[in-house]
Amino acid sequence: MNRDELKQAVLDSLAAVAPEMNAAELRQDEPLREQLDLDSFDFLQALVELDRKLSVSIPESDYGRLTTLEACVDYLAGRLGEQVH
Amino acid sequence: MSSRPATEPLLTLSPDEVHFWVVEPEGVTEPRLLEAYRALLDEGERERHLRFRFEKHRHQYLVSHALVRTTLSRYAPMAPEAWRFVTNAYGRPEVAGEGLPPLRFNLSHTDGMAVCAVALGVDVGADVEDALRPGQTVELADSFFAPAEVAALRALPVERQRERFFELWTLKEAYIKARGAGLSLPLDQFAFHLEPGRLPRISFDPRMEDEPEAWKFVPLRFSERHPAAVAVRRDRGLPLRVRCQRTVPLAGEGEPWFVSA
Repeated sequence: MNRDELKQAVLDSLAAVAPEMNAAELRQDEPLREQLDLDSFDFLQALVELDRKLSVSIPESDYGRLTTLEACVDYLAGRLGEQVH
Repeated sequence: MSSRPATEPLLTLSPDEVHFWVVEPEGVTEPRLLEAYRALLDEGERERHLRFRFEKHRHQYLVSHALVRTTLSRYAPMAPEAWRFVTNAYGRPEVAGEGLPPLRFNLSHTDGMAVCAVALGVDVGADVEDALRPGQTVELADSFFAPAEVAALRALPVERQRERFFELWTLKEAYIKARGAGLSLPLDQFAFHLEPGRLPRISFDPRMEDEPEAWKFVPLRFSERHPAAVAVRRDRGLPLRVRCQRTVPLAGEGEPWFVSA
C-alpha cells in the first residue's frame, strides 16, 4: 500500500468520526486532534475504522505518534511494514 | 442565574471537597461576553483557538477556557487572564507558579456542555459526555475495555447497554485524566465495577501499578444526555463532597448543589 492509499485510509477513518470534515482544508502538518477537536472517543472510533480498513493494531504506547496527517501516514507505513500478515 | 458582584469573596476549597463548575457553551452567545473571553486567553490559547476548522469547536474552546480561568480565580486572588499553565508530557495542563493555593483542575467538554473540576493538591480528573453522540459504543468496549467490564456490559439488556457504556466511559476517562497520562494508559488494564446504590469500585491489572483504595470515583449527571464522572486521588475510606454549580463565566451563577460520596 503506498502513501497516498494510507493517507486516504486515514482520511476515511476520520470522516467516520468527523463527517463534517473537508479533507482538502486539513493542514497536513498540524495536529488532527486540534484541527478537528477530536476527543478520546473519536480517536478510538477512528482506530477501529483504521483496523477495519488496514488490519493494523496499534499499541497504546504508540498513540502519541498519531498526531498530524503526515505523522499518521509515516507511522502506518512503518507499522504495516513490521506486521506479519 | 443571578449576576455575581465583582466583590464576592473567594471560595474556599477543603481537602475533602471537589468543586465542579458546569457551563452550556451553546447558550453563551452575547458578543460582548465572547469578546471578554477572548481577552482572557494567552498567546498559546489564542493560536490553538484559531486552529480549529469549525466555528462550533472554536466556540466550545473559548467558553471552556474562559471557564477554567474564571473558575481558578474564584479560589485565589489572581485575575482570570493572569493564570499561566504548564503541560506535562501528555499535554495535560496544570497551574504554573508558586505562592498560590495548590489548585489542581481538569477540564472536559462535549457537545452541549463543559465542566471544570477543581481540587486542592490532589490528582483530579473529570469527564462529561454527550450520550447522544453518534458512534459505536458496546463495540468500542469490546475492543478497548477490560474483559470484566465487557462481560458486565454484554450481560445487560440491549436497551441499557449504551447508557452503561457511557457510565463506564466517563469513569475510565476521569481516571486516566486524573493520572495525567490520557490514552497511553491501556483501558483494558483497569476495570470499574458498578452496583446499584454503591459507589463505583475499580480494580487494576498488576501492570498498572495502582491501588484501588487510593481513589474515589463519583458518577454525576448534569442533564438527561450528559453523564459525567470525577476521579480524585483520595483514600477510598474517607468522605468526599462534590460541590456542583452552573455558571456563565463573567456573567452569572446558579445555586450550588452537593453530592456526598
